[in-house]
Amino acid sequence: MDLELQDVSVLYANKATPALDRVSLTIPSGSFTVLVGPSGSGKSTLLGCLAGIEPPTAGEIRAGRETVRRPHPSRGMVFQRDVLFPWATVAANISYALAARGVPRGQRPQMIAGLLDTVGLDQEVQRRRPAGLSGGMRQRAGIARMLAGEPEVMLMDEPFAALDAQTRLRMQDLVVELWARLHRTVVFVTHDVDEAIRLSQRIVVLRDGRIEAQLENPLGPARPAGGLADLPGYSDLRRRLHDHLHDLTLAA
Amino acid sequence: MIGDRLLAPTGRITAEARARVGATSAVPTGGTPVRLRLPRLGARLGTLAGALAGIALLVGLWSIIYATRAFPANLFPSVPRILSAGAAMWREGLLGPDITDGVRRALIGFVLGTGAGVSLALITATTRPGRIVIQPILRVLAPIPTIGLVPLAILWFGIGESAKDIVVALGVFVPVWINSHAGLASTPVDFLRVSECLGASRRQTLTRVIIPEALPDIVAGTRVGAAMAFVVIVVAELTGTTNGLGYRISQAQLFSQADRLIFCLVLLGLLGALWDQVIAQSTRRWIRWSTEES
Repeated sequence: MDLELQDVSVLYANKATPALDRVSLTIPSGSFTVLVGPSGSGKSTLLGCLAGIEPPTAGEIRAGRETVRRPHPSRGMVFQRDVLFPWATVAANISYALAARGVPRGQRPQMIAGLLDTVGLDQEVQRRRPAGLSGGMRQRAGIARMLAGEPEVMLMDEPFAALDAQTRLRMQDLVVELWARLHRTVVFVTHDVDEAIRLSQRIVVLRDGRIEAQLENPLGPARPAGGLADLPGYSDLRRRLHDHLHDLTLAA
Repeated sequence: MIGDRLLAPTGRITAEARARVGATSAVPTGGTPVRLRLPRLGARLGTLAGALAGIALLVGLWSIIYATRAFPANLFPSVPRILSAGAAMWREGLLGPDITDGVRRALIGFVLGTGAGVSLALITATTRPGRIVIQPILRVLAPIPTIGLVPLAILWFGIGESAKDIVVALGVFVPVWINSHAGLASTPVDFLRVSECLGASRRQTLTRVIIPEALPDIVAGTRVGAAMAFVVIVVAELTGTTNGLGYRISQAQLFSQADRLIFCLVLLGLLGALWDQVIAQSTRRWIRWSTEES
């Protein structure tokens, strides 16, 4: 599903400057786009607009042929905090998403087992509540719940920001694995330059609510965490990205 | 469809892929998790011992004050005299009916008040008309002291059982409504957004997100309401009855029987505490998550 923003602006009532200022962007179907930029640059607002949870003040957002006006399960969202329902077990959390799209109760256990398998969680986790899981496991369960909605677009708002370095690398592997297998459109927000390079096909740099630059990622599909720096094109892309972000940091 | 692809046996991630993505198991290597029951039992015994120690401390302090003779013995009786007054009421056949009638009234009022409180909270917290029209009315009515409603209840419902049930119900209603409304109206935005993004219906969001998330507040309100039922029952039984612990307290005050009066008060306190524990234990499994999270 293609995503398209045309002259989209978002102005909050209590802010003098817009969170997004006449942003136009096309995200092709099946692509992996990463949004980077300093805090307050509009990354999360842009993602919220695509999800339909941030209504634009001006402009139009399209998902395929539809104009985005409200959230829809075809555009699944993973938040920075996993936002699993703490009162429900992992199975009940996923079951909620299945119930929301009308899956009969009898079919749910098998689907839950399949989804946990897909995100690399042991079946034993089904009966546990989020409080009994590690940060990485919670995010995996959150991704499983998002996948239960059968999204055509996966919107991820700094989902691994709160995880330790090792878990973060594993989660990156999971996202790449899912993207490669499912051929869905992914829009991923991060602060981390290496994460952006490792995951993306294209990197969009945001500044003060505007698009500062769009960089194509020249790296091939194999991007091992340990050997990323040795890949041809990595150093050049990292330097260009750093130049943009460094300028932004100085400007901020 | 993604689900078909994810769930088809051939579509499942292979062992190799699972290893690559860092498949995570919640079961520690080498076996099933062992549940430690002994510490929980120890904690419960500790709580019981603490409660008994508190009661012993109160009895001790009471006895010390009594021993100083600072107050007349008929107004500040000894602990044994209070207990023997209770035994006398039991022998006279007063205590049994007083307890059953008082508890029955408290229970009926509690059920009515809780039902009305939670139902109206659902309306005031989750619907626009409820928030705009009903909530301001309840905000004005809530601070009116229940004792002030007794004369009106007698005027409207007479001196029969209905008036007492209504008075208790009104006393229970206020804390149940306030707490339930607060819980139901403060669902974190992220939970609502997740629900919206998953395409859940309004009913699904209400029953599977908003209500479960508010349950700790609803239970807290219910427990305060239970305590209120035993406070208000004394007021409700002051008129139009010849039994009940409230009636017995007013009679004891009329005949200057402080020992009987104090015994009835202690009994009310114990019954209230017992009821509170019944509610706490019966709802624990639904709200255990709130203590796990914190």
